[in-house]
Amino acid sequence: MNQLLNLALGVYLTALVLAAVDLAVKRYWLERLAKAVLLAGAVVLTAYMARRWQVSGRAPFSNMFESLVLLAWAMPVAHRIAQARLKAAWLTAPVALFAALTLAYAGTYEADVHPLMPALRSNWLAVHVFTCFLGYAGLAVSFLAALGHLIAARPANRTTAATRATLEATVTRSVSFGFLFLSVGIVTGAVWANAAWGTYWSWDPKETWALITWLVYAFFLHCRQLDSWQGRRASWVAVLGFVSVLFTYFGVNYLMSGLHSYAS
Amino acid sequence: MNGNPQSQNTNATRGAVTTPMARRGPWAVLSSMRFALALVAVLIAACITGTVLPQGDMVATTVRHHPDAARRLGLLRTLGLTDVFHASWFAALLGLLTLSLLACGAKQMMTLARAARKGRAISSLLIHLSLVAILAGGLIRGIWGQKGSLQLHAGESASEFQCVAASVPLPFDVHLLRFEVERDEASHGPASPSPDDGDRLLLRWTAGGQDSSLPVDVGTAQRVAASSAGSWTVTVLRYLPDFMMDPVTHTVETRSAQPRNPAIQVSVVGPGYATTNWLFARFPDVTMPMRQDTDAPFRMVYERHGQGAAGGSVRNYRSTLEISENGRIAKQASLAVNAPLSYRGYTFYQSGYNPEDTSWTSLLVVHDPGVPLVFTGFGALIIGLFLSLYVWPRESAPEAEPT
Repeated sequence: MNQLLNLALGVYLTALVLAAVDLAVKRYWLERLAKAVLLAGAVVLTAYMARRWQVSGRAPFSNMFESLVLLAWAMPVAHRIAQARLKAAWLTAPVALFAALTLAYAGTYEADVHPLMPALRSNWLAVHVFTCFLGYAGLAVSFLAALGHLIAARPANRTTAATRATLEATVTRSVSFGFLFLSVGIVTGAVWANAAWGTYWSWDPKETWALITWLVYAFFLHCRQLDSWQGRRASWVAVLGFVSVLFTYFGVNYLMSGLHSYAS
Repeated sequence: MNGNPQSQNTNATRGAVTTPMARRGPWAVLSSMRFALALVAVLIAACITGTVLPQGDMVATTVRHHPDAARRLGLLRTLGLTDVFHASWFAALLGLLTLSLLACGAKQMMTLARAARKGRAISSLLIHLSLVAILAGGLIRGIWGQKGSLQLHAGESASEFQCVAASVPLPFDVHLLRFEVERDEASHGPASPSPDDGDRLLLRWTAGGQDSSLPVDVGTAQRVAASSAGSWTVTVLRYLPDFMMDPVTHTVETRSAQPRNPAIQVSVVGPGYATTNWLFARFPDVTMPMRQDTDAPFRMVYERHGQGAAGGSVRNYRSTLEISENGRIAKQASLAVNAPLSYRGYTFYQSGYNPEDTSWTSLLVVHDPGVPLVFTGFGALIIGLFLSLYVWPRESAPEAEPT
C-alpha cells in the first residue's frame, strides 16, 4: 500500500514542477497538463484509500494519518471545482505544493490499521469526516486564492482588473464549496453525536472551533454584500477563516482535550 | 444576514452608512446586516474565550495547580467568563442573534413579492429560518429537557433515573435483562511480519510486586533485575503472526501474515537457569513446550496491543432492556454505543460498564423534546445553503481571463 502513497506524492511533485514551469513560460498545454497530473495524484490516492478501506473493513478516516491523506486527496478535487469556468493558472502550483506537503506530513504519522473503539464504529464516521475534509480542502483553496489576490491587489504589482476579479471569484467559489461541506460536516457530526452521546451539541472544543470557523465564513459570505467589505478586506477575512480551520484541525487536537481527543 | 436581491441589499447598506445605528428604530437595527455581523463578531470572540480560558470544573483544577492564579480566576468568575457557554450573558447573546435572524427573515418575507430574484430570496429566507429553528430547539432543550443516568444489574428494574439534583420518575419501568461486551472474532488487526509496536511481554513475579513490562523487540536481549531474584536476560527470538506446528515434523511456521494466532518465542537466561518457550497472545495460559518456567521467579504473558486476554478488540457494549407499563411488557429491545433505544420521548444510551462486574450497566437517559425541531432546522439549513450557493448564487462567474 505504501507504494501507492509514495506514487501519489511523486505525482503531486510532478504537477508542482509542471505548474512552476508553466508560471515561467506560460504555455496553455503545460497548464492543462499540470492540472491533469494534479488530478491523477488524487486518482492514485483514491486507489490507496480504497485498498485501505478494503483491508480495514471501515472507512479510512479515523485518525490523523488517514485524515491528512483524505485532505491531500480533497485538495485537487476542490481546486478543480473552484476553478470550473475560471482560469487562474498560477493556483495549480500552490495547490500541488499544499497537497504534496500534506501527504509528506501524513508520512510522519503511524500508518498501521488498528481496530476502532465502539464510539467510532458508525457509518456516520465516513459521512462526517469526508464532508468536513472536503470543506477544509475548499477553504484551503480559498486561502491560497485570497493570498494571491492580496498580492495581486498591491499597488506595486501591475495586475489587470480581470486577474483580480478572477482571483476574487475563485475565493468566493471555493469558500462557497468549503462552507457548504463544512456545514454538512457539522450537521452530520451533530446528528451522530446525538446518537452516540445523547446530545447534538456539547460545546466540546472541536465543535466550538468548527462553529467559530463556520461563523467567520458566514461573515465572509455576508460581507461580500457590503460595498465597504469588497476586495482586500474580504480576502483578509478568507485568510483569517483559514487560520481558524487550521486551529480547528490541528490546534484543538494538540492543545485542548475533549470528546474529539482520539483524533490526535 | 440579509439575502434580499442585490438592489435591495445595496439600498439597505447605503441606509446603514448614512444613518447612525443609534438613531434608527429597534426594528431597523435588528434587521440590519451590519448589526447581525457585529453580533457574529461578538459571538466569535465569546466562543474563543470559552475554549481558551479554564471553564467549569477546570477552574478548581487550575487553582489547585497554580494557587497564585486564584485571584485572576476569581475576577474572571465575577465577569462570567469561567462558564461562558452556560452564562446568562451568552444566552442573551444567542437570544439577540435569534431576534436578528427573525427580523431579517421577516424583512425578507415582506419584500419577497417584489423581489427580482425570488429563488435567491427564498433560499436566503430558508437559511435564516433554519437557524432560528435550531436555536429554538436548543431553547426547548434548556427549558424542558432532562438528562440523567441509570445504573442497573442484570435482573434489576427501575422506574426513575438520577439527575444532578434529584431523581426523576419515568412514566414506565425499565428492566435490565442482560449486558454483554461484544468482541471482534474475525478481526485480527493489521497484517504484518513483525509484532505491533504496542505489544508487551509481561513478567509476573511470583513473589508479588509490580509486573515488568518489556517491549517485544525481536532479537534484542533485555535485562531484568529483581532484588530478590537476581538478574535475568530475556530475548524474543521469533514472532509469528499466525502460529502453526506441523504435527509430524514439529516444524513451526506461520499460516499467513494475518495476526490470527500471534506467538513469540522467548529465551530466558537467569542464575542457573535457561529455557526457551513459545507464548501465545490469545492463549495466555498455554506455552510450548507445555511448561511455564516453573523454576523461574516469574510467569510470562504475551500481551497483544489493543486486545485483552479475552480475545478480539471490543466491538460494542450492549444492554438488553424490557420496558413495561402498568405491569404489561410494552417493549423489549437492546441498545448499544451508537444505537440508542427510544421509548415515549425518552432515549437510553449505553454510557458505561464495569469490567469487574459484567452484569452491571450504566445508561444515559435523555428527554429532549427540541430534537425534532433542531433536526428539521439542520435539514432546512443544508437545503437552503445548497440552493443559495449553487442553484441561485449571488454573483455569476466573471468572464474567463485571457491567457
